[in-house]
Amino acid sequence: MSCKDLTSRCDPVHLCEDMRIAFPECRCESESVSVFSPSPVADNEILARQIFSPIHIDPETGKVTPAAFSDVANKGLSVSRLTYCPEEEVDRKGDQKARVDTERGRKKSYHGFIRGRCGDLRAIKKDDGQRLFCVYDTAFEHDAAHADACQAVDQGPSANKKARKILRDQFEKVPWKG
Amino acid sequence: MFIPLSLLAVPATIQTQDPSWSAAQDPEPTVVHEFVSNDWVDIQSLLTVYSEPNEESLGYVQKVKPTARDKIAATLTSYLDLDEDWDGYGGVRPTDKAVRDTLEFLNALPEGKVPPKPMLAGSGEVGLFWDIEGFYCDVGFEGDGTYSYYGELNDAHSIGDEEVPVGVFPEELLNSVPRLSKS
Repeated sequence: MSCKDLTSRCDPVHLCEDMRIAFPECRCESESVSVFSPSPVADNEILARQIFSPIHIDPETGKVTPAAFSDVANKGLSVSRLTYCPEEEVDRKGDQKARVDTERGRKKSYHGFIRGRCGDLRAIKKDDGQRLFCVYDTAFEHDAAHADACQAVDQGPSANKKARKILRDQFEKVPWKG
Repeated sequence: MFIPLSLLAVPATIQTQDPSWSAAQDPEPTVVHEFVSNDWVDIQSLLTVYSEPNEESLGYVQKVKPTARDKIAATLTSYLDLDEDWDGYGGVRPTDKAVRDTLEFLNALPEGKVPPKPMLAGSGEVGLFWDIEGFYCDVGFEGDGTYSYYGELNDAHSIGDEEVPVGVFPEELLNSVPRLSKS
């Protein structure tokens, strides 16, 4: 089974878990995991994470909470590759998604995005030298710039909280609009 | 009667008729709060009730002033009103038990300690965190009667554990949470 096969067949809710089992040590980073992707994600690419819920923002400081990064352990932390999707486009898609969801009865608002550098995420290692995060080009037909950051190892709830703290430190603290 | 805890986020005012009324004379405040479940938390212990003169009406106004903990509790309880996909990424609605466990933890935190901030993960895990000078800590409740945490102190010392029964406060965690400054 190829990396593309796995991402096209797996339950999106368990993307990172399935990747860890079938292709450990971020093996799928070296190739495209989606037929819709322009290329694997390069280390120098800037990634933008859209923030839709006020719950993910501390109202006192304006900073994104640690829990906003929890998807990295299971379904993947969805990000947009700014190389293929300009900041204005990230905002436009964010506003559009919020509008569509609200029309469908799921009230939502778009608060902007936070940015991080792919290479910085990939450079994070555990004490034993093992990579902590992988970044895959999980593009969709309607969103070629989509990527996911996945935790490379699942170490249990406490260590996962440490991992998301480290990840949070690599991103901007306050969401903004381009 | 069900009164959402979120109402506590807004100070409530109760007009009393007797101008000689004082907090010392008044028996128990008559504020009634019931919860979705009967055993949430002893919310009366979280309330601060005081009185002050109201010159316009020549009466007294009894105010229920929400504390920082009231606001946290209100936010945590409001998570139960969320729909699925609340975060735009398929976010799971938290369970009643996860919220209740978090409230219990909050209620058990000794007075005088810096209160945490509430948060919610896409997995439905309810959380509390501190991110202040010299202390970072992330505590999570999945609704199984236990919690996990990870923290860092300014001396680069880290703390952490998992499957800690709700109601148990590990010494390392309790001792790490800073005390509120008196200013």
